[in-house]
Amino acid sequence: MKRLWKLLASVRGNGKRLIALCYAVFLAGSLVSVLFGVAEDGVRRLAGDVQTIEIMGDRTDAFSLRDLEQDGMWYTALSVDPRMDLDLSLVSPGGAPVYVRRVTLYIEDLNMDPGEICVFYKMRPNMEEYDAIYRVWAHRDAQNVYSFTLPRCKMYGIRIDPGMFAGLHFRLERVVLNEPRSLSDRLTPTRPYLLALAVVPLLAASVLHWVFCAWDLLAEKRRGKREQAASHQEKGREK
Amino acid sequence: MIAFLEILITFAALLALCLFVHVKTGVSSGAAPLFVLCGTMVWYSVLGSVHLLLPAGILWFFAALAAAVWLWLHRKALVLRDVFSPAFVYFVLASLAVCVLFAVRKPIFSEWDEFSFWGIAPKVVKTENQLYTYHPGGMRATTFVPGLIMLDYAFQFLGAAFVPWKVYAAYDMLYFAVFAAAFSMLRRRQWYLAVPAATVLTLTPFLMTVYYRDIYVRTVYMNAYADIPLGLLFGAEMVLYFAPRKKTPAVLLGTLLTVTATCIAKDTGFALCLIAAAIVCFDLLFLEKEDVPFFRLKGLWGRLCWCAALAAAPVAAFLGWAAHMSAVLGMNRFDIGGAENMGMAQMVVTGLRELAGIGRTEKFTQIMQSMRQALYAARVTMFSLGGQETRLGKLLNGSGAIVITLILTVFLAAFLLGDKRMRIRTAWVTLWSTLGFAAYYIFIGFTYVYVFKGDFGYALGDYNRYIYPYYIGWFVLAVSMLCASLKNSAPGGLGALFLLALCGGCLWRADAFVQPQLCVLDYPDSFYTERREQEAFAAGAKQYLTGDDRIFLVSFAPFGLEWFQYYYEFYPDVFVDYSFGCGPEFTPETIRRAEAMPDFFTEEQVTYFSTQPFTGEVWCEYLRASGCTAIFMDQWDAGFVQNYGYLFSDGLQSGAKLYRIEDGGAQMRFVPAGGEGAAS
Repeated sequence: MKRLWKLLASVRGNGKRLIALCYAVFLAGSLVSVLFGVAEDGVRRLAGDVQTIEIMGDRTDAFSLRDLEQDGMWYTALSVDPRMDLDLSLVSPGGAPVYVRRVTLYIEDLNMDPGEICVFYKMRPNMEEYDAIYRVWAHRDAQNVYSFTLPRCKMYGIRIDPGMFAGLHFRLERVVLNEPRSLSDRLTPTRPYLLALAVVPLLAASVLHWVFCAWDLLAEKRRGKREQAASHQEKGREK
Repeated sequence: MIAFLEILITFAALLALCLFVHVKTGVSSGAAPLFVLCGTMVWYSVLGSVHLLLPAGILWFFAALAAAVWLWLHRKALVLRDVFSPAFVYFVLASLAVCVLFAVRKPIFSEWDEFSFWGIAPKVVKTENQLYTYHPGGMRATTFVPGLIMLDYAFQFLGAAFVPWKVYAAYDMLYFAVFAAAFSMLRRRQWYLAVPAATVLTLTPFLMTVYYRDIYVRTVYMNAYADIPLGLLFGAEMVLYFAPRKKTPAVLLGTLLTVTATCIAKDTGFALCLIAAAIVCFDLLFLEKEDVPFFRLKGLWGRLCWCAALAAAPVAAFLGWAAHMSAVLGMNRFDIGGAENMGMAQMVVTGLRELAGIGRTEKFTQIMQSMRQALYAARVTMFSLGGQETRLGKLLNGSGAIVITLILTVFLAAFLLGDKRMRIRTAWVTLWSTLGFAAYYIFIGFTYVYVFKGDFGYALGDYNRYIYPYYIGWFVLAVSMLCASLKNSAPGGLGALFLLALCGGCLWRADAFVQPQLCVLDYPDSFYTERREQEAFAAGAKQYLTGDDRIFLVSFAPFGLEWFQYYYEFYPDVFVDYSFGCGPEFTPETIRRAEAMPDFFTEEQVTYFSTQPFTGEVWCEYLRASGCTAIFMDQWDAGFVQNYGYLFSDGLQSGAKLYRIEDGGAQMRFVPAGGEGAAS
């Protein structure tokens, strides 16, 4: 604790050190957050809360389709808004909410650029319809592999929109829920993270600088008042 | 990669000029980029108007090279502490980040008016190395002022081909230059003020233009429209003057350049730049204590000359562009046409008379009443809380009234925190900028009454777009004056807390309204899927076409946007006939509009084609008369196939996009380019 106060004292008056400290804390915090995510994911998998589930593309009972025609593993979009509503009872027998943190689509033989591939999700039990605010876009991991990283909470519904063009035709190999993420994938920074890295430590340093300076100002005012009171007392005694 | 290197070299040249201006004139390093960018806009616009665009570019780069050499020879005069101020560092890092981001992601044009003017005009200028007025081609809008197009040209100059994302990078660098100038008075030891100020300013384009949480991508920071740059330039004129404590001739010159740049950024910039010039002139004449010589003229005469220059420069730019329009395009800038078919001066005079109650019409009363209501009822910005159904939501609804309250609060903070001189200055700036807003608001009301036609005026169409430029510039000015007041205040004081709270509030609102995946930061690749498909279709068609070909475009999409998009894609390789603006009105009963005919048609041809029902035979006659050699099929319906399918050798069944017109004299046939077996 004493070391911590010493460190804080050394950065108080030095802007560069304060900024460096904030960057160090942010980077360390990011690393800790990633490692915590790995550990938490591992624990949940061991406990059975998070399970990797593979759904083959030719299954007819896994998804409720809208504007999408299925023929074995082949799918054809009949409109600009094809949808695949996942039957959650498949992954959660009692229909209870389940952790779905990652959805990976293995798609082949696309006849055109699918455009927008999204996963919609329901985070609350009282959500009747899917909301465009609760949506993630695909990250293209490889030629025919699209992955979606969802929030870490339990899900009450999952819907996959595999494209945005009528006549889109593709072969769905499989859909994997909760495919494990590699450490390198977790450590790869995203663009929002890079912006946060550029800005957040600087803002934190500005706030801390204000706190330190305000503290010093208040301390000075108190010291000033005490000295004033002491000098009044002395004058009084002299009289 | 090559485009990235080109823009990096141009950016390096820009920095050389910035440092030269900083060292030679004493303008702060944070304000120098704005000085140079506005000077660049004016430079290219003036020389481009007299057919000297290419020499302008060569001279600009020579000047940058000369500046770099001079800096190297006088490197000891560079005080690094002054050069690397927070504002300058911010400008350099933000601009580089944007260049890298756009070079990697390569955004392209996607908004309507980017294809009708703001995107196609830079492409024409780059291709021809001349102002677009000299080569209007098929452009439907050619009379807009050239300032922002010239800014883009400065960054497109190096390189053989036009690169769309360079337009966005150029605009964004201008934004960052304005923001940097706004807090350029802060030194390195005031970094704790510069960081929140920079954050607030960088968020300003979002804060003032987004008023609901969208589920589609917001193109702020990747948009070629002139509204946000206009607003920022309006603020920049005053910021460049008020930011530095000492008003030197260099500062006044920079203000002059910025005023002129605002005037030539967009047509409504003329009104805004005069308001800003008036505010600056008042301060210069009545509040500024120190001498600001105009060349050898000192004292009052010097100031009067600066004021005259600040007024004369935009007027000269306005009249200069009017003369150019008249000489090159044969058009009268003063004739604004519109619903009442009035001239500009007539509009203002008539508006003022009706405002005073003289001969007031019902239309005037209704529209001005709507304007009054919109000020406190129309959601314009992110400064709202809660839903529309709650009391708090109705009160804090992000309307103009809320924004004005916020801006005036920032001015109040600047007033209370500043020293005596700053207080007086802030008070007058607040007063004049508020009155300026009132004048601007009324002026916009006049345009709704006298210029816009039909329901557009009554419904206050595009209200947000016409009003938020003033809010943007006004807000930037307020934040800049706050920073100037805080500069000498105690670090742990209430002023700094206010700025931090403002920053926190802006971050909170921005987070509530804009997702990273729905903005410039991390938009999905699929955002441009349809546009890239159009690019690919056009590229595929161009393989079968030459510069002598003329394409007739068939597209049943409503509103005719596709015509502008394909005109842009095919330019400059192949000319696209106006094709009556495309649209679903394409049946044998359709009568074509006379104004949609090619310019080179004779009166008889115009009369004939605008009175005949558009049967297959008439269409063939039109194609023959207009010199079209190919047809590009974008979208059509079953009715089109039924009515015109017999003209196509494949009956429109092969899926081909491009058809060659084979004119056998008696009967025209449209044959898939590449043969009947070829698909799209």
